[in-house]
Amino acid sequence: MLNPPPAPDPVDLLNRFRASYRNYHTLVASTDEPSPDIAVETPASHPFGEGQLPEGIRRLVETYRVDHPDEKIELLKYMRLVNGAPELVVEDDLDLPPTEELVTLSQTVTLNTSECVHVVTDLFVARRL
Amino acid sequence: MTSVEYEFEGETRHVEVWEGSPDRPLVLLLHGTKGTSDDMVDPHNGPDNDYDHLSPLEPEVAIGQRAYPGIGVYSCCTLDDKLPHVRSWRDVLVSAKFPTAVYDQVDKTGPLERPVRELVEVVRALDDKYDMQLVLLAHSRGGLLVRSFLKRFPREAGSVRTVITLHSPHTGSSLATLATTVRDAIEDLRDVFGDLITQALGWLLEIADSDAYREMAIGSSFLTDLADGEGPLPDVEYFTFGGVSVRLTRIRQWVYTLDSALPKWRWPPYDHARIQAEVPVASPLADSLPNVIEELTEGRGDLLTADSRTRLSFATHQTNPINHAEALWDPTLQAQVLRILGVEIGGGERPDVPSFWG
Repeated sequence: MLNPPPAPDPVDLLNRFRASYRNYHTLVASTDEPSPDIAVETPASHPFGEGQLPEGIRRLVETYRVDHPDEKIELLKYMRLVNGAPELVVEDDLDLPPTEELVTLSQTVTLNTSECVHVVTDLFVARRL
Repeated sequence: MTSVEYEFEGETRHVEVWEGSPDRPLVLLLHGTKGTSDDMVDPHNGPDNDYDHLSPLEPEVAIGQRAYPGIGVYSCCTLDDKLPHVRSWRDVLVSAKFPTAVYDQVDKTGPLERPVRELVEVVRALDDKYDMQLVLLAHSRGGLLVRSFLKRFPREAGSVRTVITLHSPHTGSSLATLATTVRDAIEDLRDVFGDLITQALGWLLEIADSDAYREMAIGSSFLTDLADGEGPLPDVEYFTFGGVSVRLTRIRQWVYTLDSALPKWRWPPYDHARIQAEVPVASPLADSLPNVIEELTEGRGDLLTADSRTRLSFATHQTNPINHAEALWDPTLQAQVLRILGVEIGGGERPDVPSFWG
């Protein structure tokens, strides 16, 4: 291969995440008629912790901790999307952590037959301490 | 441009001549196996292997927002684009004011017997018309044609002063001997990539399977007879060039960027984008083929000839990192040849070159 693909740039990827981020808790609070299809909760009303992480993400975090044994990961936000549309958003008015602390975690599972397609994405935002 | 007639086996044929400075020798260009005069005049149209394999790959292209992650290959596959412009030997020589002649040889894929006798008639016609000193500049099998002509018809070659062969398999090519092995390797690639491989390497198989290349197999009776008792003709200088690059073209595909697999905090969550990349393992062609023969080994061959076999004991040799087809337009090689002829491209004539043609 003459032109090997460039190595991924983790900071650039986080910056792209940040560039498209919007706080839906704040947005819903400022809207008169929130969409009935989306459940927007707060971490207080819908608590979640590492125990609720999907199995695949949990294993990835365990692997990460082997090289980062002193780090703690604090989950801040959670979103579940089904076929690209949000089903549940859990966040308060807290903004994203700074880039050096920001962690994104996600898992997408799919099922596709001749009659249906299901694409379910679980997306978490966390802070590493 | 003048069309000079010659008779060969009862047929009137033509050699095309571009006029030049009267104090320059006439350069007769000789194409190789399966070639035509286009090789020397318009190589972009034939042999059409001028892939731009050094150009940068396409940058990232946004596709749009999607509900699902974008992972892996977006679309496959294409070869490199062709170079926007290549400068032929005719173009270079004419612009340096060398009278330049070219013709289509008979039996382009057959034995050399008839092309050698035809060359006698071509040289005779040029001598009669111009009475100038001759440079024979030959690509690939054209170099063997020249050697056979000089050995069998030295009296008819009295006007020849310089012989320059480009990537000519003077001591043979194992491509003919191992054509079946090479075909198998290419067939394996074709099973995966389909017509793309035929497009890129089909010509290689056609040449390897030709009678012309069988005649050039290592140890063939033709080559043995040619080398037997062969030596340089008096007053003739010999130069040989070889190539050590088997790089022809990359195989490109579009793949999703890594970012296409990372969801964003919005919906739809995925920003799809694609970026060009080479197909692993298979790209670039023909580097990816097994190094079953020296001709197909990077650093030793040029796809059709091995550099070690493009040499003559009585010639000055130079090796370049180019493939067999690139010898038809490579600017560095063209500058090297012009230097032999006493001209520096863009820099006027070299003062230390004797007035060889005066």
